[in-house]
Amino acid sequence: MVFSSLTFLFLYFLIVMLIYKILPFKFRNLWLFIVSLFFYGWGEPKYILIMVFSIICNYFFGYKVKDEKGKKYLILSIIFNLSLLGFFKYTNFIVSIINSIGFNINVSTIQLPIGISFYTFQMMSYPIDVYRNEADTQRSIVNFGAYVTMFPQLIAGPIVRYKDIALQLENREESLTKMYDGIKRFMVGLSKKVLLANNIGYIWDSIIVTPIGEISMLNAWLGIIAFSLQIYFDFSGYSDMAIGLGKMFGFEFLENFNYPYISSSVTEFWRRWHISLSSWFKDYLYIPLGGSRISQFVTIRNLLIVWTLTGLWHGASFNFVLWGLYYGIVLIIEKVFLRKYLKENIISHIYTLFIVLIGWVLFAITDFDLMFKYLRAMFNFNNVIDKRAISNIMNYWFIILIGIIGSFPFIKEKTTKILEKYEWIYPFLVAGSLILCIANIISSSYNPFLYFRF
Amino acid sequence: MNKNIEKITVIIFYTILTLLSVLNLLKSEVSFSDNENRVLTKFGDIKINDIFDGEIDEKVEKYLSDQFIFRDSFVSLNTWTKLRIGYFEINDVYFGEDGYLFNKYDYSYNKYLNKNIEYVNDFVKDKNVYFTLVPSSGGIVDKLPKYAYSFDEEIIIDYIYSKLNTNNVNLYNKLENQENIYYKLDHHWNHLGSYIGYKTIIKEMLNEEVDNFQYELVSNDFKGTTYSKSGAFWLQGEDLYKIKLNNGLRSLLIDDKESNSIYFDERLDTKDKYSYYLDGNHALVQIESDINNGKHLLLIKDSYAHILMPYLMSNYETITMVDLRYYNQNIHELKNKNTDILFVYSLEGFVNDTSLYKLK
Repeated sequence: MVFSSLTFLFLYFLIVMLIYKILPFKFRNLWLFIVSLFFYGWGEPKYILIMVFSIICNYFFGYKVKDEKGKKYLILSIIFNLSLLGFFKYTNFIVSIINSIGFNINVSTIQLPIGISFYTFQMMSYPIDVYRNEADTQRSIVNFGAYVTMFPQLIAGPIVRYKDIALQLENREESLTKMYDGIKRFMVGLSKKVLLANNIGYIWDSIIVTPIGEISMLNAWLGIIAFSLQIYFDFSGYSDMAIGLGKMFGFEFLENFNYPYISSSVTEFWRRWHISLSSWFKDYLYIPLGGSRISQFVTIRNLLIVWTLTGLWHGASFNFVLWGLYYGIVLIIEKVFLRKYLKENIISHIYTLFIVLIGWVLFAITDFDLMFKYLRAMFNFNNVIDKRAISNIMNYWFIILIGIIGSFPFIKEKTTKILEKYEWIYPFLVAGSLILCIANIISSSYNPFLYFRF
Repeated sequence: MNKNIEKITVIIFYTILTLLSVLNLLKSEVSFSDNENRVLTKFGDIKINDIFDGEIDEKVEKYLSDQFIFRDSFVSLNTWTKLRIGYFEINDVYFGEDGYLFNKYDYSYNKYLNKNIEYVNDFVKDKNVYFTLVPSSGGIVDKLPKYAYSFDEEIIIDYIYSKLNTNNVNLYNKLENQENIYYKLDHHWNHLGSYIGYKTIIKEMLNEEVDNFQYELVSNDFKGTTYSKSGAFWLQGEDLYKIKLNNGLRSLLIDDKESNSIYFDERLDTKDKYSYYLDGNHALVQIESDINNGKHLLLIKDSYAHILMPYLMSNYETITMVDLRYYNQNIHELKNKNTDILFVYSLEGFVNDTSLYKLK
């Protein structure tokens, strides 16, 4: 179930919220746990078992890492969690690699449990945080289960680290203001996803199925710009919805995006894009490996490790590895010498956007042959402009413009200032955007959520 | 911070969701969507087993979406807002001038075309076969939106004709620059367009001039396929004409059913009014007219040919019309020695057809 579905909006959410608010506080985590498992199992019920099994094991690790043999159990927990992730996510990939060098192993295709990359990382943070004394052992398995499965962020993040939410599980404030803020935030996210991401996505979809030799330079750039806007509004919209829903239930999640496309360096981009993933890798892998404090060699090694794994985290396919390495190398270059030349100026911004756009080509196209042909189309000066590109631009100019403007903070700052004076607009905005989103959802079965396959 | 505004916002948000949910519960199920011309998902289509097969998510969503209250109005609202913000193409439909809705076709993706040409060439080997392609409305009517991308249909028609070993009847030049020859809200050519087609075909095949025909308005509320795809459900329907036969009908067999008219009045009460002609798509239609010239025509076609039939009956005593998409018997039994053979396909239909292998 995705948030931008009629099932979620008109059945699941209403019922869950109604009963949640009726229940006394001590039962609310239990209710969240139950309905989150339901939310998870709605798509693939068999994976509920794996989820419950993982929860029980990690709950147990939470006690054991406090023992004198704590370190052993910590390592065990890491191996356990990574094995599950590895088995479900990478078996098919590894088998295909082995087979491609001449072996012939037959393994039936393993279906990827939804959101496994997200909740595995989330669960891993628990034994580690407890071991590091950054959080206490959670005595209630219900609270722990509610933390792991919490449906607002279950399948697409933000990845909530245990230490950030431990206290809220025991005690959190719910209020009219939080409900109001939550609804506004949810509607921002829903609109980003349904009105912007889905509609901008049509541009990319139509361009990428054009016979590759016929894609003009302008159309190729338009396509990848559309993809960049789509994935940003899709993913950040989903995070907004998660944060908004969290607020409605009294939780405060950390921000996951901070206008990444205004960055003036790639290093900065990754501090603004999918913040919860970058900080997870930083806290639980990069720093423990020694970070950038030991020597330049170790720093480079660490960056390469982290970024290869970041790539793999996004998907079990070579293009994601390439995409991760690409960023690893760019970040190393920036770290070693480029960073000091990147200032708040137009050239730095263009450089960053250029690197990011090329990155999205590697990310979006799994087939290497097609990927290189697409890159070539982007620099094909023999076919700069064609009628398809003009048609696309003229049809979608408004929504692309909104997308671009929406990627920058200044409009939001301006409008927020105005809206503070005329706050009575908010109810109308919420009602209007909700009706428009419903109209869009009904009009299209085109509602796939991009981050599902990770 | 104004508490009242907070309260009002929260109330409005939940009221919209709850109200629509309750209305959805109260409203009775609709089994068919006229505008979309398809059967809708009903509650009974959801099975207990779907929960365990992991199909429940998709099915419930489809059910909710199909049965949603004011569904057509929501779709219209979506189309309307998109037109307001400058869209001229929605759902592969171009919103042209003068109320024309054109299908958007891109013939770059023609993975069946060369195969289809081969099938036809194998079929015609030692025969004298006529072949004609009808361009799409977007390819002919000069009312596309200003910046719309459209594939030059003349190029692909010329390409196909150059590969085919048939006698090709080129309609493109004849249709070009003519007014009012396609429906505005449907993808077919209309009675005037098909008349031009008829005139050209008979000139080529029989070297005869053709008579004039009378028309009679039978519906002013025809809302065709491009209307349905567009989601612009506020548009008024258009006129549909009957072509008055210049000679009598002796017998008509549609599949195995006899009929006494090639026009089906009951179809005028349905959404798909183009089926007024010959009851829409059928595998095999056999017509006998009262002109007694002993001529027989085997017509292999898609639906663009239906509106040609009233005309062709003036020149052929018997016509056998075959739709390969539905016809599963041996086609070779239908072609005997003194039969004229004619293919009539829409360009888009021929390029993407997946049933021409049955010519083997």
